[in-house]
Amino acid sequence: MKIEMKKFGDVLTSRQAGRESYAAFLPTARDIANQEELIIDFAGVSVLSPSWADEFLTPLLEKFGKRLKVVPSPNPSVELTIKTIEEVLKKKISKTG
Amino acid sequence: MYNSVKMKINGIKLLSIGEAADYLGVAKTTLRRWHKAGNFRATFVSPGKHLYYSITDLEKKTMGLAKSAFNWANSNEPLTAPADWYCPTSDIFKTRLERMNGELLARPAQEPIASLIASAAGEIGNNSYDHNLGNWPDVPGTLFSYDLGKRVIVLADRGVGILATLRRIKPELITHHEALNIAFTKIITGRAPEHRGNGLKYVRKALAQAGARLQFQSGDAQLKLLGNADEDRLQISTTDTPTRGCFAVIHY
Repeated sequence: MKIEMKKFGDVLTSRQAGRESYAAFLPTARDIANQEELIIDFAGVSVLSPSWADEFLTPLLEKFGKRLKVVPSPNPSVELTIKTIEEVLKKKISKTG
Repeated sequence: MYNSVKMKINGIKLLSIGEAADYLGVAKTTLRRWHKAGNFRATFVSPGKHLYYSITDLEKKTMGLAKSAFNWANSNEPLTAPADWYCPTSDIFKTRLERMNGELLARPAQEPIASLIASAAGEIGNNSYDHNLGNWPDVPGTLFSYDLGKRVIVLADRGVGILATLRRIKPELITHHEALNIAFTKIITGRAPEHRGNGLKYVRKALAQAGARLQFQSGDAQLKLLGNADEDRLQISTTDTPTRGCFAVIHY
Protein backbone atom coordinates (compact mmCIF):
# COMPACT_ATOMS: atom_id res chain seq x y z
CA MET A 1 0.00 0.00 0.00
CA LYS A 2 1.18 3.51 -0.82
CA ILE A 3 0.26 6.55 1.32
CA GLU A 4 0.31 9.96 -0.31
CA MET A 5 1.38 12.15 2.57
CA LYS A 6 0.12 15.33 0.89
CA LYS A 7 -3.36 14.15 1.86
CA PHE A 8 -2.44 15.04 5.45
CA GLY A 9 -1.45 18.59 4.45
CA ASP A 10 1.43 20.35 2.71
CA VAL A 11 3.04 21.80 5.87
CA LEU A 12 3.58 18.93 8.33
CA THR A 13 5.32 20.40 11.36
CA SER A 14 3.72 19.98 14.78
CA ARG A 15 3.51 17.00 17.13
CA GLN A 16 -0.20 17.61 17.61
CA ALA A 17 -0.86 17.43 13.85
CA GLY A 18 1.40 14.36 13.56
CA ARG A 19 -0.55 12.59 16.32
CA GLU A 20 -3.87 13.44 14.68
CA SER A 21 -2.66 12.18 11.31
CA TYR A 22 -1.41 8.94 12.87
CA ALA A 23 -4.73 8.40 14.65
CA ALA A 24 -6.57 8.99 11.37
CA PHE A 25 -4.34 6.53 9.52
CA LEU A 26 -4.32 3.80 12.18
CA PRO A 27 -7.53 2.01 11.06
CA THR A 28 -6.08 1.74 7.52
CA ALA A 29 -2.74 0.52 8.87
CA ARG A 30 -4.52 -2.26 10.75
CA ASP A 31 -6.00 -3.55 7.48
CA ILE A 32 -2.60 -3.92 5.76
CA ALA A 33 -1.78 -7.59 5.18
CA ASN A 34 1.10 -9.17 7.12
CA GLN A 35 3.51 -9.38 4.18
CA GLU A 36 2.44 -6.17 2.45
CA GLU A 37 4.78 -3.16 2.20
CA LEU A 38 3.78 0.29 3.36
CA ILE A 39 5.16 2.91 0.95
CA ILE A 40 5.33 6.48 2.30
CA ASP A 41 5.40 9.15 -0.43
CA PHE A 42 6.02 12.79 0.48
CA ALA A 43 5.51 14.10 -3.08
CA GLY A 44 3.53 17.34 -2.87
CA VAL A 45 4.51 17.98 0.77
CA SER A 46 6.13 21.39 1.05
CA VAL A 47 7.48 21.27 4.62
CA LEU A 48 8.18 18.35 6.96
CA SER A 49 9.74 18.53 10.42
CA PRO A 50 10.98 15.89 12.89
CA SER A 51 8.24 16.63 15.45
CA TRP A 52 5.49 15.69 12.99
CA ALA A 53 7.45 12.76 11.61
CA ASP A 54 8.23 11.41 15.09
CA GLU A 55 4.51 11.21 15.87
CA PHE A 56 3.62 9.59 12.56
CA LEU A 57 6.61 7.64 11.24
CA THR A 58 8.15 6.38 14.50
CA PRO A 59 5.12 4.33 15.60
CA LEU A 60 4.62 3.04 12.04
CA LEU A 61 8.28 1.99 11.92
CA GLU A 62 7.74 0.04 15.12
CA LYS A 63 4.73 -1.71 13.58
CA PHE A 64 6.07 -2.33 10.08
CA GLY A 65 9.86 -2.41 10.47
CA LYS A 66 11.55 -3.01 7.12
CA ARG A 67 8.17 -3.32 5.38
CA LEU A 68 7.90 0.47 5.71
CA LYS A 69 9.64 2.22 2.83
CA VAL A 70 9.97 5.90 2.03
CA VAL A 71 10.03 7.25 -1.53
CA PRO A 72 13.19 9.42 -1.86
CA SER A 73 12.20 13.09 -2.01
CA PRO A 74 13.99 16.09 -3.53
CA ASN A 75 12.50 18.30 -0.80
CA PRO A 76 15.36 19.29 1.57
CA SER A 77 13.17 19.34 4.70
CA VAL A 78 11.84 15.84 3.94
CA GLU A 79 15.31 14.48 3.28
CA LEU A 80 16.81 16.07 6.43
CA THR A 81 13.87 15.03 8.62
CA ILE A 82 14.20 11.39 7.55
CA LYS A 83 17.94 11.52 8.33
CA THR A 84 17.18 13.07 11.73
CA ILE A 85 14.63 10.37 12.59
CA GLU A 86 17.16 7.71 11.55
CA GLU A 87 19.75 9.31 13.81
CA VAL A 88 17.41 9.49 16.81
CA LEU A 89 16.14 5.91 16.35
CA LYS A 90 19.61 4.65 15.44
CA LYS A 91 18.18 2.70 12.51
CA LYS A 92 17.99 3.09 8.74
CA ILE A 93 14.63 3.65 7.13
CA SER A 94 14.22 1.62 3.94
CA LYS A 95 13.85 3.55 0.67
CA THR A 96 12.10 2.57 -2.53
CA GLY A 97 13.98 2.22 -5.81
CA MET B 1 5.96 64.25 25.18
CA TYR B 2 2.76 63.04 23.60
CA ASN B 3 0.42 63.91 26.43
CA SER B 4 -1.60 65.97 24.02
CA VAL B 5 -3.05 62.77 22.53
CA LYS B 6 -6.81 63.04 22.48
CA MET B 7 -7.68 60.32 20.02
CA LYS B 8 -8.47 56.90 21.50
CA ILE B 9 -9.77 53.80 19.73
CA ASN B 10 -10.63 50.71 21.80
CA GLY B 11 -8.66 52.21 24.67
CA ILE B 12 -5.50 52.63 22.56
CA LYS B 13 -4.07 56.14 22.46
CA LEU B 14 -3.39 57.36 18.97
CA LEU B 15 -1.05 60.01 17.64
CA SER B 16 -1.89 62.34 14.79
CA ILE B 17 0.17 62.01 11.60
CA GLY B 18 2.19 65.10 12.59
CA GLU B 19 3.03 63.65 16.00
CA ALA B 20 3.83 60.25 14.45
CA ALA B 21 6.09 61.92 11.88
CA ASP B 22 7.94 63.67 14.73
CA TYR B 23 8.21 60.40 16.62
CA LEU B 24 9.81 58.61 13.67
CA GLY B 25 11.77 61.60 12.42
CA VAL B 26 10.21 61.49 8.97
CA ALA B 27 8.00 63.83 6.97
CA LYS B 28 4.21 63.54 7.05
CA THR B 29 4.33 62.95 3.29
CA THR B 30 6.59 59.93 3.90
CA LEU B 31 4.07 58.42 6.32
CA ARG B 32 1.28 59.00 3.78
CA ARG B 33 3.37 57.33 1.08
CA TRP B 34 4.13 54.33 3.33
CA HIS B 35 0.45 54.02 4.16
CA LYS B 36 -0.57 54.14 0.52
CA ALA B 37 2.11 51.62 -0.51
CA GLY B 38 1.05 49.29 2.32
CA ASN B 39 4.51 48.87 3.87
CA PHE B 40 3.61 50.80 7.03
CA ARG B 41 -0.09 51.42 7.41
CA ALA B 42 -1.71 53.82 9.83
CA THR B 43 -3.26 52.19 12.91
CA PHE B 44 -6.55 53.98 12.28
CA VAL B 45 -8.03 56.00 9.44
CA SER B 46 -10.79 58.38 10.44
CA PRO B 47 -13.92 58.84 8.32
CA GLY B 48 -12.33 62.13 7.20
CA LYS B 49 -9.30 60.11 5.91
CA HIS B 50 -6.96 61.41 8.62
CA LEU B 51 -4.23 58.92 9.59
CA TYR B 52 -3.57 57.99 13.23
CA TYR B 53 -0.81 55.84 14.73
CA SER B 54 -0.48 53.92 17.98
CA ILE B 55 2.75 54.17 19.96
CA THR B 56 3.05 50.36 19.74
CA ASP B 57 3.04 50.46 15.93
CA LEU B 58 5.57 53.26 15.89
CA GLU B 59 7.81 51.37 18.29
CA LYS B 60 7.63 48.33 16.04
CA LYS B 61 8.80 50.48 13.19
CA THR B 62 11.69 52.01 15.12
CA MET B 63 12.85 49.07 17.16
CA GLY B 64 12.53 46.40 14.56
CA LEU B 65 10.96 43.00 14.89
CA ALA B 66 13.60 41.48 17.13
CA LYS B 67 13.68 44.20 19.75
CA SER B 68 9.92 44.44 19.87
CA ALA B 69 9.60 40.66 20.37
CA PHE B 70 12.37 40.64 22.98
CA ASN B 71 10.60 43.36 24.93
CA TRP B 72 7.31 41.46 24.76
CA ALA B 73 8.95 38.26 25.98
CA ASN B 74 10.86 39.89 28.83
CA SER B 75 8.76 42.67 30.31
CA ASN B 76 7.96 42.09 33.99
CA GLU B 77 4.28 42.79 33.43
CA PRO B 78 2.96 41.26 30.18
CA LEU B 79 2.66 43.83 27.41
CA THR B 80 -0.21 43.81 24.97
CA ALA B 81 0.95 41.56 22.15
CA PRO B 82 0.72 42.90 18.60
CA ALA B 83 -2.28 41.04 17.17
CA ASP B 84 -0.61 40.50 13.80
CA TRP B 85 2.19 38.48 15.35
CA TYR B 86 0.81 36.96 18.54
CA CYS B 87 -0.16 33.29 18.28
CA PRO B 88 -1.88 32.32 21.54
CA THR B 89 -2.43 28.73 20.39
CA SER B 90 -0.52 26.25 18.25
CA ASP B 91 -3.39 26.21 15.72
CA ILE B 92 -2.91 29.92 15.07
CA PHE B 93 0.85 29.43 14.84
CA LYS B 94 0.31 26.62 12.31
CA THR B 95 -1.90 28.82 10.13
CA ARG B 96 0.64 31.66 10.16
CA LEU B 97 3.53 29.31 9.48
CA GLU B 98 1.66 27.99 6.44
CA ARG B 99 1.10 31.55 5.28
CA MET B 100 4.79 32.38 5.71
CA ASN B 101 5.76 29.26 3.77
CA GLY B 102 3.47 30.36 0.94
CA GLU B 103 5.11 33.79 0.94
CA LEU B 104 8.60 32.21 0.90
CA LEU B 105 7.65 30.00 -2.04
CA ALA B 106 6.36 33.04 -3.92
CA ARG B 107 9.87 34.58 -3.84
CA PRO B 108 11.98 32.83 -6.48
CA ALA B 109 15.27 33.67 -4.73
CA GLN B 110 14.06 32.16 -1.45
CA GLU B 111 12.12 29.19 -2.84
CA PRO B 112 15.06 26.69 -2.81
CA ILE B 113 15.57 27.07 0.95
CA ALA B 114 11.91 27.72 1.86
CA SER B 115 11.25 24.23 3.23
CA LEU B 116 14.35 24.32 5.46
CA ILE B 117 13.58 27.79 6.80
CA ALA B 118 9.88 27.06 7.38
CA SER B 119 10.57 23.70 9.03
CA ALA B 120 13.21 25.24 11.33
CA ALA B 121 10.82 28.05 12.31
CA GLY B 122 8.10 25.42 12.79
CA GLU B 123 10.27 23.35 15.12
CA ILE B 124 11.23 26.37 17.25
CA GLY B 125 7.65 27.64 17.45
CA ASN B 126 6.06 24.25 18.08
CA ASN B 127 8.62 23.54 20.83
CA SER B 128 7.19 26.52 22.70
CA TYR B 129 3.70 24.98 22.74
CA ASP B 130 4.79 21.36 23.31
CA HIS B 131 7.04 22.15 26.26
CA ASN B 132 4.89 24.76 27.99
CA LEU B 133 1.41 23.27 27.69
CA GLY B 134 -0.18 23.57 31.12
CA ASN B 135 2.93 25.36 32.45
CA TRP B 136 2.86 28.84 30.91
CA PRO B 137 4.03 31.20 33.69
CA ASP B 138 1.68 33.99 32.58
CA VAL B 139 0.92 34.61 28.90
CA PRO B 140 0.59 31.53 26.68
CA GLY B 141 1.78 31.34 23.10
CA THR B 142 4.45 32.82 20.88
CA LEU B 143 5.21 36.04 19.13
CA PHE B 144 6.01 35.03 15.56
CA SER B 145 7.03 37.88 13.29
CA TYR B 146 8.93 38.05 10.05
CA ASP B 147 10.04 40.36 7.31
CA LEU B 148 10.84 38.29 4.25
CA GLY B 149 12.08 41.39 2.42
CA LYS B 150 14.78 41.75 5.08
CA ARG B 151 15.08 37.93 5.38
CA VAL B 152 14.48 37.88 9.12
CA ILE B 153 12.19 35.69 11.26
CA VAL B 154 11.66 36.22 14.99
CA LEU B 155 10.10 33.81 17.50
CA ALA B 156 9.68 34.53 21.20
CA ASP B 157 7.75 33.07 24.12
CA ARG B 158 7.22 33.73 27.82
CA GLY B 159 7.54 30.05 28.69
CA VAL B 160 9.75 28.17 31.14
CA GLY B 161 12.81 28.00 28.85
CA ILE B 162 15.12 25.21 27.73
CA LEU B 163 16.79 24.49 31.10
CA ALA B 164 13.52 23.86 32.96
CA THR B 165 12.26 21.74 30.05
CA LEU B 166 15.36 19.54 29.83
CA ARG B 167 15.60 19.17 33.61
CA ARG B 168 12.45 17.06 33.43
CA ILE B 169 14.51 14.35 31.75
CA LYS B 170 18.02 15.43 32.84
CA PRO B 171 17.66 16.68 36.44
CA GLU B 172 21.43 17.01 36.79
CA LEU B 173 21.50 20.05 34.49
CA ILE B 174 22.36 23.29 36.29
CA THR B 175 23.08 26.10 33.83
CA HIS B 176 21.27 27.52 30.81
CA HIS B 177 24.56 27.21 28.94
CA GLU B 178 24.67 23.41 29.46
CA ALA B 179 21.00 23.09 28.58
CA LEU B 180 21.36 25.01 25.32
CA ASN B 181 24.41 22.98 24.36
CA ILE B 182 22.57 19.69 24.92
CA ALA B 183 19.44 20.89 23.15
CA PHE B 184 21.40 21.77 20.00
CA THR B 185 24.01 19.02 19.96
CA LYS B 186 23.04 15.80 21.80
CA ILE B 187 20.45 13.22 20.82
CA ILE B 188 18.08 12.70 23.74
CA THR B 189 16.53 9.25 24.08
CA GLY B 190 14.97 9.54 27.52
CA ARG B 191 11.34 9.50 26.46
CA ALA B 192 11.12 6.52 24.16
CA PRO B 193 9.03 5.70 22.23
CA GLU B 194 8.45 9.44 21.86
CA HIS B 195 11.57 11.50 21.25
CA ARG B 196 10.92 15.03 22.41
CA GLY B 197 13.85 17.34 22.76
CA ASN B 198 15.53 16.62 19.45
CA GLY B 199 13.95 19.34 17.32
CA LEU B 200 16.67 21.92 17.91
CA LYS B 201 19.35 19.61 16.55
CA TYR B 202 17.32 19.51 13.35
CA VAL B 203 17.05 23.32 13.44
CA ARG B 204 20.84 23.56 13.60
CA LYS B 205 21.31 21.31 10.58
CA ALA B 206 18.47 22.79 8.54
CA LEU B 207 19.68 26.36 9.03
CA ALA B 208 23.30 25.41 8.29
CA GLN B 209 22.12 23.72 5.08
CA ALA B 210 20.15 26.85 4.17
CA GLY B 211 23.15 29.09 4.91
CA ALA B 212 21.07 30.87 7.57
CA ARG B 213 22.22 32.43 10.83
CA LEU B 214 20.48 31.84 14.15
CA GLN B 215 20.56 33.70 17.43
CA PHE B 216 18.80 31.66 20.12
CA GLN B 217 18.52 32.74 23.72
CA SER B 218 17.13 31.00 26.79
CA GLY B 219 17.83 32.28 30.29
CA ASP B 220 21.27 33.92 30.34
CA ALA B 221 22.68 31.71 27.57
CA GLN B 222 22.86 32.90 24.02
CA LEU B 223 23.69 30.63 21.12
CA LYS B 224 24.80 31.71 17.68
CA LEU B 225 24.87 29.62 14.55
CA LEU B 226 27.10 31.21 12.01
CA GLY B 227 25.21 30.47 8.82
CA ASN B 228 27.87 28.58 6.97
CA ALA B 229 26.50 25.69 4.94
CA ASP B 230 29.80 23.83 5.19
CA GLU B 231 30.17 24.23 8.89
CA ASP B 232 27.36 24.11 11.43
CA ARG B 233 29.52 25.43 14.25
CA LEU B 234 27.81 27.04 17.18
CA GLN B 235 28.94 29.50 19.81
CA ILE B 236 27.32 29.76 23.24
CA SER B 237 28.00 32.74 25.48
CA THR B 238 26.50 34.33 28.58
CA THR B 239 24.45 37.47 28.14
CA ASP B 240 23.68 40.16 30.71
CA THR B 241 20.14 40.55 29.31
CA PRO B 242 18.53 37.20 30.20
CA THR B 243 15.26 36.10 28.63
CA ARG B 244 12.30 34.48 30.36
CA GLY B 245 11.48 31.73 27.89
CA CYS B 246 13.00 31.34 24.46
CA PHE B 247 13.92 34.01 21.95
CA ALA B 248 15.11 33.23 18.43
CA VAL B 249 16.11 35.33 15.45
CA ILE B 250 16.75 33.67 12.09
CA HIS B 251 18.60 35.64 9.38
CA TYR B 252 18.76 33.86 6.06
